Amino acid sequence: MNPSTAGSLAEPTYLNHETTVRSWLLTRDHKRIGVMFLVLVISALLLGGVFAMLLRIELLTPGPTIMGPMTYNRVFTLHGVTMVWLFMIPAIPSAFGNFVLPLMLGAKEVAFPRLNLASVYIYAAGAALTVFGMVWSGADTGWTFYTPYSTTSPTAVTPILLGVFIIGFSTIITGLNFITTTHTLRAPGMHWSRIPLFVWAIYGTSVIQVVATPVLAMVLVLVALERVAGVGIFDPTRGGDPVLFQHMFWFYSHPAVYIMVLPAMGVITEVVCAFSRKNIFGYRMIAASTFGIAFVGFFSWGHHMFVSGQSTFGSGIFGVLSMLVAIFTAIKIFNWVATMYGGAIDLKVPLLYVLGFIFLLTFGGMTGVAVATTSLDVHWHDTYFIVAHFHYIMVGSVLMAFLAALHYWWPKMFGRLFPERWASVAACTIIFGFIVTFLPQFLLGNMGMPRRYYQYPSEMQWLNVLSTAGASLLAFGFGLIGLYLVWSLRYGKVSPANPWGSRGYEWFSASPPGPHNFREPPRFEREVHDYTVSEAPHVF
Amino acid sequence: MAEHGRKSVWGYVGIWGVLVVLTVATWLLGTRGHLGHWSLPVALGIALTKTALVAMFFMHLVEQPGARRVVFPVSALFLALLLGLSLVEAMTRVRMARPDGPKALEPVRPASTRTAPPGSPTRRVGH
Repeated sequence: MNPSTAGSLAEPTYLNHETTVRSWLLTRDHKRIGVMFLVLVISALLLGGVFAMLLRIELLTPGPTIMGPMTYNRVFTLHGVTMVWLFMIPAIPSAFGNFVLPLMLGAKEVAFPRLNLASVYIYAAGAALTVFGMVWSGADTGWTFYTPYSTTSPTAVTPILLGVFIIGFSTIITGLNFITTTHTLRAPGMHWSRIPLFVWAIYGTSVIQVVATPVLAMVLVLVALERVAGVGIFDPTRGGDPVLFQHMFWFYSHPAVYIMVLPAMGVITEVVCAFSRKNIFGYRMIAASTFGIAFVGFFSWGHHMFVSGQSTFGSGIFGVLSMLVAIFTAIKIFNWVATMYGGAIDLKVPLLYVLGFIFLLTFGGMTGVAVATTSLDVHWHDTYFIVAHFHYIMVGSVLMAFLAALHYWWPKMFGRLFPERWASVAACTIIFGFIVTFLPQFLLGNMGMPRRYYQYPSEMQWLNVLSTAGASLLAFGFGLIGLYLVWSLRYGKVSPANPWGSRGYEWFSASPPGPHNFREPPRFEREVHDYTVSEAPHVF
Repeated sequence: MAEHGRKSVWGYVGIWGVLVVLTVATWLLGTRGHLGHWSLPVALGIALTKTALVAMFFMHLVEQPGARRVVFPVSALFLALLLGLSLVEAMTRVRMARPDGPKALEPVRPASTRTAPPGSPTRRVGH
């Protein structure tokens, strides 16, 4: 045990300075709130994962396997709702953003600590209402709640709509808190050109959350009103327009893809620097491309609607706007690769996930340009090609970055190290399992297998079996991670203050940090991730 | 907050008066103005003016340079793009999904080129 560890163990940490249940439930400490969010989103991931496995088992055979068609409709809806609204959107910003953003800025707290606590409870209330809807009678609309079916479906769509509506408030509050914290609570020396790129990513994400989420809230309320009171906003038999729902829904939900992916990109930037032992290549371009993606992402929602009856002119505009996103994404990918080039690569577990991320994002991104082409999308629309595409780009990137962040900041959060060898095995299993799960789905889609279908022709079975085998590998990998991380909480080696030798600002605090983050106010006198300085950061 | 206390109540009353006048103007234009195609743009113009007055004075944006210069215009831009792109799409849409009655689905051809259905007594075969 080195001297810095001994020092940090002797002092109270955010974990042990108060240990009662009440002190956790009423905490205003951003780190505890981050941990609470982490527990909640991992629970959601587990729930969504169970639904995913049920779907894959059902699709093992061309006919009925373990459930009936109506149950299948409900299970894929619940899988989507849980994964999108309860896991992927809040996962990185709410859990890791809450934990490390103030540390990276040298702040003691977020700008509105009480509001921060409220965001956890609002999220929990929304999640509880959503799960209640699932248990009550489920929903069979898909996670997109498309009208007019969602306005007439006899299943429990309304509580799930309201649950998602409530979760939206949590998202808005979190975003508002991060924007204000970044503007007002930066430590001395932390001018705008020194802000860590993870913070830039969270900041860009927060702007999207604050601007777009109200539109989602509005459209969900309108669907609920149409179900309950029969107002004719979307129902064509009452003079409404179902395509209007798609416009309003995707105006939020397409930027929501970037609410998921931008924080993931922020995590990747941090990890790439730390394990390449090199400052980031093109700091300004990465920060600028974050806002490029955020801005253009708002104006590409119509690419979800190429076959909805939308005008050809509108489709053309949205197709071109969608392709622009690839430019900003490519800037980031080239900069990460350039950062690794010539670096002293330390192939630890977080960097393994980064490699998985870069592969999946590149592959998913290129298929994204393909499906933004209207003529190709008409062929692939609502097939497994689209399922594979969005799993690569959204789920792949969020999962890889989430796991990279979890492993990278685990010693910072809990002061313990995890077993590197087991973690490497799990990382390889998960990356391989992910590719085996979703690569066959590109082929299935290209062969014409529609998404959300319960049955399929028998010549498509081998690809479905392959996909289910990959999903089993994924489940095994996640089980392994759960086991060794829980094990490490009690039996893992005590971590030094900065086990990776990172130059990131968050490592200026002890691991785990004290209740007020820093023993003395930090002053950042060098660039973030400056590997030209030889010494490890001084722990304030 | 202390700055708010120094503001004249009569200023707010005056702005409220302007809002009332604009509301009455909207009603008059709607009921007696008969502006034809100009009705909608004029009504929207008045509504926008009222929105700007409320945002600037009652929401105190006039005292917040950052909000006035950045947040307000950006919000307006996003709203304009959301509505604008949706409207452009709606205006250029071919209404295949909701035609104006069943006849709109049938292509109208001159009577001389129409053929009677098979089995019809007026259908001539062999010519």
